[in-house]
Amino acid sequence: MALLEVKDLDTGYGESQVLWGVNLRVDEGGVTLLLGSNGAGKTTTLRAITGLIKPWRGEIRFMDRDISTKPTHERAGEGIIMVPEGRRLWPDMTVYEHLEMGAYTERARNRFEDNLDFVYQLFPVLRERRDQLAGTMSGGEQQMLAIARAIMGDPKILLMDEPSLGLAPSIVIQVFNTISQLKERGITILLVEQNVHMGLSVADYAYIIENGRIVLEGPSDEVSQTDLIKKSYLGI
Amino acid sequence: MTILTDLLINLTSGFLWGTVLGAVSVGLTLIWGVMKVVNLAHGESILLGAYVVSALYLFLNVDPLLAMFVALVSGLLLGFAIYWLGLHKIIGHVDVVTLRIEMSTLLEMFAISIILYNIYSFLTRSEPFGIGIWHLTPISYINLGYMSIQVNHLTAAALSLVATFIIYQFISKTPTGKAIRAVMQDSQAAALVGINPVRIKMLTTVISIGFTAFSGFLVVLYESAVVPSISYKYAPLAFTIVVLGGLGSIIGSYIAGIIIGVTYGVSKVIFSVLVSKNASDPLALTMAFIILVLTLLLKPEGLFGVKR
Ligand SMILES: Nc1ncnc2c1ncn2[C@@H]1O[C@H](COP(=O)(O)OP(=O)(O)OP(=O)(O)O)[C@@H](O)[C@H]1O
Ligand SMILES: [Mg+2]
Repeated sequence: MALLEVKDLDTGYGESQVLWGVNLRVDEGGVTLLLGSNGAGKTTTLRAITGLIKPWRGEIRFMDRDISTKPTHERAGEGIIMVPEGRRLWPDMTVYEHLEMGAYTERARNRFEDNLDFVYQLFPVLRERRDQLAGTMSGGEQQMLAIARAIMGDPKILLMDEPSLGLAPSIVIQVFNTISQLKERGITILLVEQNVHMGLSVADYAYIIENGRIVLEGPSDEVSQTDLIKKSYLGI
Repeated sequence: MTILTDLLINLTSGFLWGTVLGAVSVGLTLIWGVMKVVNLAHGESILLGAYVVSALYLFLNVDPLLAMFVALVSGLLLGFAIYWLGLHKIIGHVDVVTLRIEMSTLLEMFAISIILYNIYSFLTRSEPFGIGIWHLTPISYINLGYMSIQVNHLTAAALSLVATFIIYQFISKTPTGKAIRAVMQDSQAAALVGINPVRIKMLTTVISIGFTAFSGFLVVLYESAVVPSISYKYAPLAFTIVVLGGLGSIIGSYIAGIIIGVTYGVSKVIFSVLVSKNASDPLALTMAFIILVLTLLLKPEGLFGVKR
Protein backbone atom coordinates (compact mmCIF):
# COMPACT_ATOMS: atom_id res chain seq x y z
CA MET A 1 0.00 0.00 0.00
CA ALA A 2 1.23 3.49 -0.75
CA LEU A 3 1.82 5.28 2.53
CA LEU A 4 2.68 8.56 0.85
CA GLU A 5 1.83 9.78 -2.62
CA VAL A 6 2.94 12.96 -4.35
CA LYS A 7 0.80 13.67 -7.40
CA ASP A 8 1.58 16.13 -10.23
CA LEU A 9 3.30 18.47 -7.83
CA ASP A 10 4.30 21.96 -8.99
CA THR A 11 5.87 24.30 -6.49
CA GLY A 12 8.71 26.76 -5.93
CA TYR A 13 9.76 29.88 -4.10
CA GLY A 14 8.23 33.29 -4.74
CA GLU A 15 7.95 33.59 -8.50
CA SER A 16 10.36 30.87 -9.51
CA GLN A 17 9.05 27.38 -10.10
CA VAL A 18 11.33 24.55 -8.94
CA LEU A 19 9.24 21.36 -9.23
CA TRP A 20 7.38 20.46 -12.42
CA GLY A 21 4.74 17.75 -12.17
CA VAL A 22 6.55 15.53 -9.68
CA ASN A 23 4.99 12.12 -9.06
CA LEU A 24 6.32 9.91 -6.33
CA ARG A 25 5.06 7.15 -4.07
CA VAL A 26 6.49 5.63 -0.95
CA ASP A 27 5.35 2.17 0.05
CA GLU A 28 5.08 1.11 3.62
CA GLY A 29 8.10 -0.53 5.20
CA GLY A 30 10.86 0.10 2.69
CA VAL A 31 13.52 2.64 1.90
CA THR A 32 12.76 4.86 -1.09
CA LEU A 33 15.63 6.85 -2.49
CA LEU A 34 15.47 10.25 -4.17
CA LEU A 35 18.63 10.94 -6.15
CA GLY A 36 19.65 14.06 -7.97
CA SER A 37 22.44 16.58 -8.37
CA ASN A 38 22.77 19.93 -6.59
CA GLY A 39 19.76 22.15 -7.04
CA ALA A 40 17.65 19.44 -8.68
CA GLY A 41 14.78 19.98 -6.24
CA LYS A 42 15.23 17.18 -3.68
CA THR A 43 15.00 19.38 -0.60
CA THR A 44 12.11 21.28 -2.17
CA THR A 45 10.23 17.99 -2.62
CA LEU A 46 10.73 17.10 1.05
CA ARG A 47 9.67 20.59 2.11
CA ALA A 48 6.45 20.21 0.18
CA ILE A 49 5.82 16.83 1.84
CA THR A 50 6.34 18.29 5.32
CA GLY A 51 4.34 21.40 4.50
CA LEU A 52 7.16 23.91 4.88
CA ILE A 53 6.13 25.13 1.43
CA LYS A 54 2.71 24.90 -0.17
CA PRO A 55 2.00 23.12 -3.43
CA TRP A 56 1.04 25.35 -6.36
CA ARG A 57 -0.67 22.50 -8.11
CA GLY A 58 -1.11 18.81 -7.44
CA GLU A 59 -1.63 16.89 -4.27
CA ILE A 60 0.15 15.25 -1.38
CA ARG A 61 -1.63 12.21 0.03
CA PHE A 62 -0.74 10.44 3.26
CA MET A 63 -2.53 7.23 4.27
CA ASP A 64 -5.03 7.88 1.51
CA ARG A 65 -5.97 11.36 2.62
CA ASP A 66 -5.11 14.69 1.02
CA ILE A 67 -2.88 16.61 3.44
CA SER A 68 -1.81 19.39 1.04
CA THR A 69 -3.29 22.19 3.12
CA LYS A 70 -2.21 20.99 6.56
CA PRO A 71 0.47 22.97 8.39
CA THR A 72 3.82 21.36 9.16
CA HIS A 73 3.23 20.73 12.86
CA GLU A 74 0.00 18.84 12.18
CA ARG A 75 1.76 16.64 9.66
CA ALA A 76 4.37 15.88 12.34
CA GLY A 77 1.47 14.94 14.61
CA GLU A 78 0.37 12.38 12.02
CA GLY A 79 3.83 10.85 11.86
CA ILE A 80 5.53 12.65 8.96
CA ILE A 81 8.91 13.43 10.47
CA MET A 82 11.99 14.88 8.79
CA VAL A 83 15.69 14.94 9.49
CA PRO A 84 16.34 18.25 7.74
CA GLU A 85 19.26 19.14 5.54
CA GLY A 86 22.05 20.64 7.63
CA ARG A 87 20.64 19.01 10.81
CA ARG A 88 19.03 22.20 12.13
CA LEU A 89 19.53 21.52 15.81
CA TRP A 90 18.82 24.11 18.50
CA PRO A 91 22.39 25.08 19.38
CA ASP A 92 21.60 26.35 22.86
CA MET A 93 19.55 23.34 23.97
CA THR A 94 20.87 20.14 25.49
CA VAL A 95 20.90 16.68 23.94
CA TYR A 96 18.16 15.50 26.28
CA GLU A 97 16.02 18.55 25.53
CA HIS A 98 16.26 17.68 21.84
CA LEU A 99 14.99 14.19 22.59
CA GLU A 100 12.16 15.56 24.73
CA MET A 101 11.13 18.11 22.11
CA GLY A 102 11.42 15.48 19.39
CA ALA A 103 8.55 13.74 21.21
CA TYR A 104 6.43 16.91 21.37
CA THR A 105 3.34 15.52 19.65
CA GLU A 106 0.78 13.48 21.53
CA ARG A 107 1.35 10.25 19.66
CA ALA A 108 5.13 10.58 20.19
CA ARG A 109 4.73 11.33 23.92
CA ASN A 110 2.85 8.10 24.37
CA ARG A 111 5.83 6.15 23.05
CA PHE A 112 8.51 8.23 24.75
CA GLU A 113 10.13 5.52 26.90
CA ASP A 114 10.23 2.96 24.09
CA ASN A 115 11.72 5.33 21.58
CA LEU A 116 14.20 6.70 24.10
CA ASP A 117 15.49 3.17 24.79
CA PHE A 118 15.83 2.56 21.08
CA VAL A 119 17.65 5.85 20.50
CA TYR A 120 20.10 5.22 23.35
CA GLN A 121 20.72 1.73 22.01
CA LEU A 122 21.43 3.15 18.54
CA PHE A 123 23.60 6.00 19.82
CA PRO A 124 24.96 5.26 23.32
CA VAL A 125 26.98 8.47 23.12
CA LEU A 126 23.75 10.49 23.41
CA ARG A 127 23.06 8.99 26.83
CA GLU A 128 26.52 9.99 28.04
CA ARG A 129 26.17 13.47 26.54
CA ARG A 130 22.60 14.11 27.61
CA ASP A 131 23.42 17.44 29.27
CA GLN A 132 25.73 18.75 26.55
CA LEU A 133 24.58 21.69 24.42
CA ALA A 134 23.97 20.63 20.83
CA GLY A 135 25.98 23.53 19.46
CA THR A 136 29.14 22.24 21.12
CA MET A 137 29.03 18.75 19.57
CA SER A 138 31.01 17.46 16.59
CA GLY A 139 29.38 17.23 13.17
CA GLY A 140 28.93 13.45 13.42
CA GLU A 141 27.39 13.65 16.88
CA GLN A 142 25.08 16.40 15.69
CA GLN A 143 23.86 14.25 12.82
CA MET A 144 23.17 11.40 15.24
CA LEU A 145 21.22 13.76 17.45
CA ALA A 146 19.24 15.04 14.47
CA ILE A 147 18.31 11.45 13.58
CA ALA A 148 17.57 10.65 17.23
CA ARG A 149 15.29 13.68 17.58
CA ALA A 150 13.34 12.51 14.54
CA ILE A 151 13.02 8.94 15.89
CA MET A 152 11.63 10.38 19.14
CA GLY A 153 8.80 11.78 16.98
CA ASP A 154 7.70 8.16 16.38
CA PRO A 155 7.67 8.52 12.59
CA LYS A 156 5.29 6.62 10.35
CA ILE A 157 7.44 7.96 7.55
CA LEU A 158 10.92 9.33 8.09
CA LEU A 159 12.25 11.80 5.54
CA MET A 160 16.04 12.11 5.59
CA ASP A 161 17.71 14.92 3.66
CA GLU A 162 21.34 14.04 2.89
CA PRO A 163 22.17 12.66 6.34
CA SER A 164 25.74 11.77 5.30
CA LEU A 165 26.62 15.20 3.92
CA GLY A 166 29.92 16.61 5.16
CA LEU A 167 30.71 13.72 7.50
CA ALA A 168 33.93 11.69 7.84
CA PRO A 169 33.85 8.35 5.96
CA SER A 170 33.64 6.28 9.15
CA ILE A 171 30.65 8.33 10.32
CA VAL A 172 29.00 7.98 6.91
CA ILE A 173 29.16 4.20 7.33
CA GLN A 174 27.62 4.56 10.77
CA VAL A 175 24.78 6.69 9.37
CA PHE A 176 23.99 4.06 6.73
CA ASN A 177 24.11 1.31 9.37
CA THR A 178 21.57 3.31 11.32
CA ILE A 179 19.34 3.56 8.27
CA SER A 180 19.46 -0.24 7.93
CA GLN A 181 18.53 -0.63 11.60
CA LEU A 182 15.61 1.79 11.22
CA LYS A 183 14.47 -0.22 8.22
CA GLU A 184 14.63 -3.42 10.28
CA ARG A 185 12.50 -1.77 12.94
CA GLY A 186 9.88 -1.28 10.25
CA ILE A 187 10.17 2.49 9.82
CA THR A 188 9.32 3.67 6.31
CA ILE A 189 12.03 5.93 4.95
CA LEU A 190 12.28 8.43 2.12
CA LEU A 191 15.99 9.09 1.73
CA VAL A 192 17.63 11.91 -0.20
CA GLU A 193 21.28 11.23 -0.93
CA GLN A 194 24.15 12.29 -3.12
CA ASN A 195 26.12 9.24 -2.06
CA VAL A 196 24.78 7.12 -4.93
CA HIS A 197 26.53 3.83 -4.06
CA MET A 198 25.50 3.75 -0.43
CA GLY A 199 22.06 5.15 -1.20
CA LEU A 200 21.24 2.52 -3.82
CA SER A 201 22.58 -0.30 -1.66
CA VAL A 202 20.21 0.46 1.20
CA ALA A 203 17.16 1.42 -0.91
CA ASP A 204 14.39 -0.75 -2.31
CA TYR A 205 13.13 1.72 -4.87
CA ALA A 206 14.69 4.83 -6.39
CA TYR A 207 13.69 8.03 -8.17
CA ILE A 208 16.04 10.25 -10.12
CA ILE A 209 15.18 13.94 -10.22
CA GLU A 210 16.72 16.44 -12.65
CA ASN A 211 15.78 20.11 -12.98
CA GLY A 212 12.66 19.60 -10.92
CA ARG A 213 11.38 16.65 -12.94
CA ILE A 214 11.44 12.92 -12.17
CA VAL A 215 13.39 11.43 -15.08
CA LEU A 216 13.73 7.82 -13.98
CA GLU A 217 12.32 5.46 -11.41
CA GLY A 218 12.41 1.78 -10.56
CA PRO A 219 13.58 -0.87 -8.10
CA SER A 220 17.06 0.17 -6.98
CA ASP A 221 18.89 -2.85 -8.40
CA GLU A 222 17.39 -2.09 -11.81
CA VAL A 223 18.05 1.64 -11.54
CA SER A 224 21.70 1.01 -10.70
CA GLN A 225 22.09 -0.90 -14.00
CA THR A 226 20.75 1.93 -16.19
CA ASP A 227 23.05 3.96 -18.44
CA LEU A 228 21.88 7.22 -16.85
CA ILE A 229 23.06 6.15 -13.42
CA LYS A 230 26.26 4.59 -14.70
CA LYS A 231 27.24 7.64 -16.74
CA SER A 232 25.96 10.61 -14.76
CA TYR A 233 26.10 9.43 -11.19
CA LEU A 234 28.59 6.59 -10.86
CA GLY A 235 30.96 7.86 -13.53
CA ILE A 236 31.48 4.43 -15.10
CA MET B 1 31.51 63.80 51.73
CA THR B 2 34.56 62.03 50.38
CA ILE B 3 34.71 60.71 46.85
CA LEU B 4 34.96 57.18 48.24
CA THR B 5 31.64 57.38 50.08
CA ASP B 6 30.17 59.06 47.04
CA LEU B 7 31.37 56.14 44.95
CA LEU B 8 30.00 53.60 47.40
CA ILE B 9 26.63 55.31 47.45
CA ASN B 10 26.36 55.47 43.68
CA LEU B 11 27.58 51.91 43.35
CA THR B 12 24.83 50.72 45.68
CA SER B 13 22.05 52.71 44.12
CA GLY B 14 23.36 51.90 40.62
CA PHE B 15 23.19 48.22 41.51
CA LEU B 16 19.64 48.50 42.84
CA TRP B 17 18.50 50.49 39.82
CA GLY B 18 20.30 47.94 37.63
CA THR B 19 18.13 45.10 38.93
CA VAL B 20 15.05 47.09 37.87
CA LEU B 21 16.63 47.75 34.48
CA GLY B 22 17.36 44.04 34.18
CA ALA B 23 13.74 43.07 34.82
CA VAL B 24 12.59 45.80 32.43
CA SER B 25 14.69 44.20 29.66
CA VAL B 26 13.63 40.57 30.10
CA GLY B 27 10.36 40.98 28.19
CA LEU B 28 12.13 42.79 25.38
CA THR B 29 14.78 40.10 24.94
CA LEU B 30 12.09 37.42 24.67
CA ILE B 31 9.90 39.12 22.10
CA TRP B 32 12.93 40.20 20.08
CA GLY B 33 14.61 36.81 20.26
CA VAL B 34 11.57 34.71 19.46
CA MET B 35 9.52 36.92 17.15
CA LYS B 36 12.36 38.85 15.55
CA VAL B 37 10.05 41.77 16.21
CA VAL B 38 11.63 44.88 17.60
CA ASN B 39 9.10 46.10 20.14
CA LEU B 40 9.11 49.83 19.60
CA ALA B 41 6.25 50.06 22.10
CA HIS B 42 8.42 48.69 24.88
CA GLY B 43 8.54 51.92 26.84
CA GLU B 44 4.78 52.29 26.63
CA SER B 45 4.29 48.68 27.79
CA ILE B 46 6.39 49.50 30.86
CA LEU B 47 4.29 52.59 31.49
CA LEU B 48 1.07 50.60 31.28
CA GLY B 49 2.04 48.60 34.37
CA ALA B 50 3.26 51.69 36.17
CA TYR B 51 0.01 53.54 35.52
CA VAL B 52 -2.26 50.60 36.35
CA VAL B 53 -0.64 50.10 39.75
CA SER B 54 -0.62 53.84 40.49
CA ALA B 55 -4.23 54.39 39.47
CA LEU B 56 -5.46 51.45 41.53
CA TYR B 57 -3.49 52.72 44.51
CA LEU B 58 -4.51 56.36 44.22
CA PHE B 59 -8.16 55.99 43.28
CA LEU B 60 -9.18 52.67 44.87
CA ASN B 61 -6.55 52.37 47.57
CA VAL B 62 -5.48 48.95 46.32
CA ASP B 63 -2.23 47.70 47.83
CA PRO B 64 0.48 47.91 45.14
CA LEU B 65 1.60 44.39 46.04
CA LEU B 66 -1.84 43.24 44.93
CA ALA B 67 -2.08 45.71 42.06
CA MET B 68 1.14 44.35 40.57
CA PHE B 69 -0.79 41.26 39.52
CA VAL B 70 -3.34 43.48 37.81
CA ALA B 71 -0.42 45.19 36.06
CA LEU B 72 0.74 41.78 34.87
CA VAL B 73 -2.73 40.91 33.58
CA SER B 74 -3.09 44.30 31.86
CA GLY B 75 0.19 43.58 30.07
CA LEU B 76 -0.97 40.12 29.04
CA LEU B 77 -4.09 41.72 27.56
CA LEU B 78 -2.06 44.40 25.79
CA GLY B 79 0.19 41.67 24.40
CA PHE B 80 -2.85 39.79 23.19
CA ALA B 81 -4.22 42.91 21.51
CA ILE B 82 -0.89 43.80 19.91
CA TYR B 83 -0.55 40.28 18.57
CA TRP B 84 -4.00 40.00 17.04
CA LEU B 85 -4.31 43.60 15.84
CA GLY B 86 -0.79 44.05 14.62
CA LEU B 87 1.44 41.05 14.34
CA HIS B 88 -0.70 38.06 13.44
CA LYS B 89 -1.50 38.92 9.86
CA ILE B 90 2.19 39.39 9.19
CA ILE B 91 3.74 36.67 11.33
CA GLY B 92 0.96 34.11 11.20
CA HIS B 93 1.30 33.74 7.47
CA VAL B 94 4.98 34.16 6.90
CA ASP B 95 6.19 31.24 4.87
CA VAL B 96 8.58 29.44 7.23
CA VAL B 97 11.18 28.77 4.56
CA THR B 98 11.58 32.22 3.09
CA LEU B 99 11.07 33.95 6.43
CA ARG B 100 12.11 37.56 6.24
CA ILE B 101 12.10 40.07 9.04
CA GLU B 102 9.24 42.24 8.02
CA MET B 103 9.68 45.98 8.02
CA SER B 104 5.96 46.38 8.50
CA THR B 105 6.03 44.89 12.03
CA LEU B 106 8.36 47.72 12.95
CA LEU B 107 5.94 50.32 11.66
CA GLU B 108 3.02 48.70 13.45
CA MET B 109 4.82 48.66 16.78
CA PHE B 110 5.77 52.28 16.21
CA ALA B 111 2.13 53.20 15.62
CA ILE B 112 1.05 51.37 18.78
CA SER B 113 3.74 53.18 20.73
CA ILE B 114 2.58 56.60 19.56
CA ILE B 115 -1.07 55.84 20.28
CA LEU B 116 -0.34 54.67 23.82
CA TYR B 117 2.00 57.58 24.46
CA ASN B 118 -0.68 60.06 23.53
CA ILE B 119 -3.30 58.32 25.62
CA TYR B 120 -1.00 58.48 28.65
CA SER B 121 -0.17 62.13 28.02
CA PHE B 122 -3.84 63.01 27.67
CA LEU B 123 -4.95 61.15 30.80
CA THR B 124 -2.15 62.39 33.06
CA ARG B 125 -1.67 65.79 31.35
CA SER B 126 1.97 64.65 31.26
CA GLU B 127 2.24 65.35 34.96
CA PRO B 128 4.02 62.99 37.36
CA PHE B 129 1.74 60.18 38.45
CA GLY B 130 2.63 57.39 40.82
CA ILE B 131 2.44 55.63 44.14
CA GLY B 132 4.61 58.26 45.75
CA ILE B 133 5.54 57.56 49.33
CA TRP B 134 3.95 54.13 49.54
CA HIS B 135 6.28 51.66 51.14
CA LEU B 136 6.19 48.10 52.31
CA THR B 137 7.31 48.63 55.90
CA PRO B 138 6.54 51.24 58.59
CA ILE B 139 9.95 52.73 58.00
CA SER B 140 10.78 54.10 54.59
CA TYR B 141 14.57 54.14 54.88
CA ILE B 142 17.17 51.68 56.06
CA ASN B 143 20.46 53.04 57.31
CA LEU B 144 23.54 51.33 55.92
CA GLY B 145 26.01 53.58 57.70
CA TYR B 146 27.44 55.22 54.58
CA MET B 147 23.98 55.90 53.18
CA SER B 148 20.34 55.21 53.78
CA ILE B 149 18.42 53.20 51.24
CA GLN B 150 14.76 53.55 50.39
CA VAL B 151 12.84 50.45 51.35
CA ASN B 152 11.05 50.76 48.01
CA HIS B 153 14.34 50.41 46.17
CA LEU B 154 15.16 47.27 48.10
CA THR B 155 11.65 45.90 47.50
CA ALA B 156 11.97 46.62 43.78
CA ALA B 157 15.32 44.84 43.65
CA ALA B 158 14.03 41.81 45.54
CA LEU B 159 10.87 41.54 43.42
CA SER B 160 12.86 41.93 40.21
CA LEU B 161 15.02 38.99 41.25
CA VAL B 162 12.06 36.80 42.17
CA ALA B 163 10.13 37.64 39.00
CA THR B 164 13.15 37.09 36.76
CA PHE B 165 13.85 33.79 38.49
CA ILE B 166 10.28 32.63 37.92
CA ILE B 167 10.23 33.48 34.22
CA TYR B 168 13.68 31.93 33.82
CA GLN B 169 12.44 28.69 35.38
CA PHE B 170 9.40 28.80 33.13
CA ILE B 171 11.48 29.22 29.98
CA SER B 172 14.11 26.64 30.89
CA LYS B 173 12.06 23.92 32.57
CA THR B 174 8.48 23.74 31.29
CA PRO B 175 7.49 22.12 27.96
CA THR B 176 6.06 25.43 26.73
CA GLY B 177 9.23 27.25 27.74
CA LYS B 178 11.32 24.73 25.85
CA ALA B 179 9.07 25.11 22.83
CA ILE B 180 9.63 28.88 23.03
CA ARG B 181 13.39 28.35 23.02
CA ALA B 182 13.14 25.90 20.14
CA VAL B 183 11.14 28.38 18.06
CA MET B 184 13.62 31.11 18.98
CA GLN B 185 16.61 29.08 17.84
CA ASP B 186 15.10 27.46 14.74
CA SER B 187 11.40 27.77 14.09
CA GLN B 188 11.49 25.48 11.07
CA ALA B 189 13.00 22.66 13.12
CA ALA B 190 10.41 23.39 15.79
CA ALA B 191 7.53 23.03 13.32
CA LEU B 192 9.03 19.74 12.13
CA VAL B 193 8.75 18.16 15.59
CA GLY B 194 5.12 19.26 15.87
CA ILE B 195 5.36 22.63 17.61
CA ASN B 196 2.95 25.20 16.22
CA PRO B 197 5.29 28.19 15.75
CA VAL B 198 2.45 30.65 15.27
CA ARG B 199 0.87 29.68 18.59
CA ILE B 200 4.23 29.91 20.34
CA LYS B 201 4.80 33.35 18.87
CA MET B 202 1.43 34.54 20.10
CA LEU B 203 2.19 33.19 23.54
CA THR B 204 5.61 34.82 23.55
CA THR B 205 4.15 38.20 22.67
CA VAL B 206 1.60 37.90 25.45
CA ILE B 207 4.10 36.72 28.06
CA SER B 208 6.76 39.27 27.06
CA ILE B 209 4.45 42.24 27.21
CA GLY B 210 2.83 40.93 30.39
CA PHE B 211 6.22 40.70 32.06
CA THR B 212 7.16 44.13 30.74
CA ALA B 213 4.04 45.70 32.26
CA PHE B 214 4.88 43.96 35.53
CA SER B 215 8.34 45.50 35.36
CA GLY B 216 6.60 48.87 35.01
CA PHE B 217 5.38 48.33 38.56
CA LEU B 218 9.02 47.97 39.64
CA VAL B 219 9.83 51.20 37.79
CA VAL B 220 7.15 53.20 39.58
CA LEU B 221 8.16 51.59 42.87
CA TYR B 222 11.69 52.76 42.22
CA GLU B 223 10.86 56.18 40.80
CA SER B 224 7.82 56.96 43.05
CA ALA B 225 6.14 58.61 40.05
CA VAL B 226 6.40 58.47 36.28
CA VAL B 227 5.76 60.78 33.33
CA PRO B 228 5.17 59.51 29.78
CA SER B 229 8.57 60.73 28.64
CA ILE B 230 10.28 58.38 31.08
CA SER B 231 9.80 55.78 28.35
CA TYR B 232 12.47 57.66 26.38
CA LYS B 233 14.88 56.82 29.16
CA TYR B 234 13.92 53.21 29.89
CA ALA B 235 13.25 51.88 26.39
CA PRO B 236 16.64 52.80 24.87
CA LEU B 237 18.40 51.48 27.98
CA ALA B 238 16.48 48.22 27.65
CA PHE B 239 17.56 47.90 24.01
CA THR B 240 21.17 48.40 25.05
CA ILE B 241 20.83 45.84 27.82
CA VAL B 242 19.29 43.23 25.53
CA VAL B 243 22.15 43.58 23.07
CA LEU B 244 24.74 43.46 25.85
CA GLY B 245 23.11 40.45 27.52
CA GLY B 246 22.64 38.51 24.29
CA LEU B 247 19.39 38.32 22.33
CA GLY B 248 16.93 35.93 23.95
CA SER B 249 18.93 35.36 27.15
CA ILE B 250 16.96 36.10 30.32
CA ILE B 251 19.90 35.72 32.70
CA GLY B 252 22.00 37.74 30.25
CA SER B 253 19.51 40.60 30.32
CA TYR B 254 19.30 40.64 34.09
CA ILE B 255 23.05 40.70 34.55
CA ALA B 256 23.51 43.25 31.76
CA GLY B 257 20.91 45.42 33.49
CA ILE B 258 22.99 45.40 36.65
CA ILE B 259 26.15 46.13 34.66
CA ILE B 260 24.49 49.13 33.04
CA GLY B 261 23.08 50.31 36.39
CA VAL B 262 26.48 50.08 38.08
CA THR B 263 28.21 51.72 35.12
CA TYR B 264 25.72 54.54 35.37
CA GLY B 265 26.33 54.95 39.11
CA VAL B 266 30.11 54.89 38.84
CA SER B 267 30.35 57.16 35.82
CA LYS B 268 28.05 59.64 37.53
CA VAL B 269 30.62 60.05 40.28
CA ILE B 270 33.48 60.32 37.83
CA PHE B 271 31.71 62.91 35.68
CA SER B 272 30.59 65.01 38.60
CA VAL B 273 34.23 65.28 39.65
CA LEU B 274 35.63 65.73 36.14
CA VAL B 275 32.88 67.90 34.66
CA SER B 276 30.09 69.11 36.89
CA LYS B 277 27.29 67.80 39.04
CA ASN B 278 24.67 68.94 36.54
CA ALA B 279 26.27 67.33 33.52
CA SER B 280 26.98 64.06 35.31
CA ASP B 281 23.55 62.51 34.79
CA PRO B 282 23.25 62.79 30.99
CA LEU B 283 26.92 61.92 30.60
CA ALA B 284 26.50 58.82 32.76
CA LEU B 285 23.53 57.75 30.64
CA THR B 286 25.64 58.27 27.55
CA MET B 287 28.09 55.72 28.93
CA ALA B 288 25.38 53.08 28.55
CA PHE B 289 25.22 53.77 24.82
CA ILE B 290 28.98 53.73 24.50
CA ILE B 291 28.74 50.23 25.96
CA LEU B 292 26.16 49.42 23.28
CA VAL B 293 28.52 50.50 20.50
CA LEU B 294 31.42 48.61 22.07
CA THR B 295 29.31 45.45 22.39
CA LEU B 296 28.28 45.63 18.75
CA LEU B 297 31.90 46.07 17.71
CA LEU B 298 33.61 43.57 20.01
CA LYS B 299 31.02 40.93 20.93
CA PRO B 300 27.96 41.32 18.71
CA GLU B 301 26.32 38.16 20.10
CA GLY B 302 26.38 39.71 23.58
CA LEU B 303 27.62 38.32 26.88
CA PHE B 304 25.29 35.31 27.00
CA GLY B 305 24.14 35.05 23.39
CA VAL B 306 24.75 32.15 21.06
CA LYS B 307 27.37 32.62 18.38
CA ARG B 308 25.92 31.79 14.97
N1 LIG C 1 14.57 29.09 0.38
C1 LIG C 1 14.70 29.21 -0.94
N2 LIG C 1 14.35 30.34 -1.56
C2 LIG C 1 14.46 30.49 -2.90
N3 LIG C 1 14.94 29.53 -3.72
C3 LIG C 1 15.33 28.36 -3.18
C4 LIG C 1 15.24 28.14 -1.76
N4 LIG C 1 15.68 26.89 -1.51
C5 LIG C 1 16.04 26.37 -2.70
N5 LIG C 1 15.84 27.24 -3.71
C6 LIG C 1 16.11 26.98 -5.14
O1 LIG C 1 15.35 25.88 -5.56
C7 LIG C 1 16.10 25.04 -6.42
C8 LIG C 1 16.09 23.63 -5.90
O2 LIG C 1 16.74 23.61 -4.64
P1 LIG C 1 16.73 22.38 -3.67
O3 LIG C 1 17.28 22.87 -2.39
O4 LIG C 1 15.42 21.73 -3.66
O5 LIG C 1 17.78 21.42 -4.37
P2 LIG C 1 18.44 20.08 -3.85
O6 LIG C 1 18.17 19.05 -4.88
O7 LIG C 1 18.03 19.79 -2.47
O8 LIG C 1 20.00 20.45 -3.90
P3 LIG C 1 21.20 20.10 -2.90
O9 LIG C 1 21.68 18.76 -3.28
O10 LIG C 1 22.20 21.16 -3.18
O11 LIG C 1 20.66 20.17 -1.52
C9 LIG C 1 17.48 25.65 -6.52
O12 LIG C 1 17.56 26.37 -7.72
C10 LIG C 1 17.54 26.60 -5.35
O13 LIG C 1 18.34 27.72 -5.67
MG1 LIG D 1 18.99 19.78 -0.68
